[in-house]
Amino acid sequence: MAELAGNLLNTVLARVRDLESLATPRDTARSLLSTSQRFVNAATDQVIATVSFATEPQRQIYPLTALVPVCLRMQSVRYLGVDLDMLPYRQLAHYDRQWFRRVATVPLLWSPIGRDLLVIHPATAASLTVTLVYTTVTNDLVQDATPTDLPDQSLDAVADLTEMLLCVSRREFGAFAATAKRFAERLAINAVTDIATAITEPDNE
Amino acid sequence: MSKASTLALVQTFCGNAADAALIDGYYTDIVRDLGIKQWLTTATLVPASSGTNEYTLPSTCLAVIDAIYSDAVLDFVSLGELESVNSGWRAATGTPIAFTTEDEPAQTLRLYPTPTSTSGPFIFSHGAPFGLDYPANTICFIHTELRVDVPVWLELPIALRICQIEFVRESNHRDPVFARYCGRLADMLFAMVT
Repeated sequence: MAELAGNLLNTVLARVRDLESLATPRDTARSLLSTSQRFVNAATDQVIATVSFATEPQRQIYPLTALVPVCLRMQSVRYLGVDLDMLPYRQLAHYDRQWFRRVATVPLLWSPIGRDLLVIHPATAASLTVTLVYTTVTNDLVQDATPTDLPDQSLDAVADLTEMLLCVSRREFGAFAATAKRFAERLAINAVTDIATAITEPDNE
Repeated sequence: MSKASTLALVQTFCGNAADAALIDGYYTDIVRDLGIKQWLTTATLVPASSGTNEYTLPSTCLAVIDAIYSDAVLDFVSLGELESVNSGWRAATGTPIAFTTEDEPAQTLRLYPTPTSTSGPFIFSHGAPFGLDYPANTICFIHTELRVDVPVWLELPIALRICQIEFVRESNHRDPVFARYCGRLADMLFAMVT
């Protein structure tokens, strides 16, 4: 059963010695918890969603934001249950200079252009139904009774990140360092770990 | 709501110490910088005219990712490359194969060679400008764009970046240590969504 936002928030507030929410209003702290959950999911791709949509005949380029407003990152595009190949856009444009108006019987690959445009290549003469698989923007934790979206094993990282944000907003940099180290170890994603570790190191500038 | 909520987040984060007028400008600067990251993208159709080689980009365009004429991707070329290929390139006509933005006014690009065809009518009877209704000989710009509002997941890193800029500048609330932590947290959050 998913943990409730209020329980997780109490854990964080206890860690920053503010169970009564005197330093930071509870709603503000919950909002940071909500945002932290979103970022941990962005880094771990654990909450995935799918949506089916009908392609338009002879069209390859789609506005992703309009199709799936809660898409944080595309994971795959499926047609008839098969994942299409993903090709970075630069490679698609390099591989076929006339990709934009190619038409075939079935789509073969997909390509994201930034976060807002999706290419499904080639176009088809008739409309087809494809499935988009994406990392979703997790729900806002609007109340203490709102359940969290991430699995329990990731909630420690959510609590850590919220604690880091609260520490910085209160200028409690000493407490911040230990949490940042713990957060980096939990997440174990190189790009994030490097920065999280560097946060606690003195500037060379 | 996104801009307003981001700026509210900045004030929440720094205890209402930030200068409201300045952080508004920082927000725009940071969203403009996101154009370099090629996250906020869109595609725009522009009609081509026979004999015209200069075209104005949409006012919100930050950087052109690709330009497509009719059905082919155009190469981005420098002025030097055009000069070396054809010293009379400005007068050349035909089906465009390349474009340049060098030596052009802001938000303008020039096709090479100058098109000899005019786009079909921009009448989208199927409501599908990028599909069934795509007019012949049209230019499609794929570009990053400046937006007032950003996706909700960009609000926090942008707010932290604003705090970094605001608290490192000379002021009565200057706090370089706070600014440094905000900056690195912003870096970390941007890395998490990349």
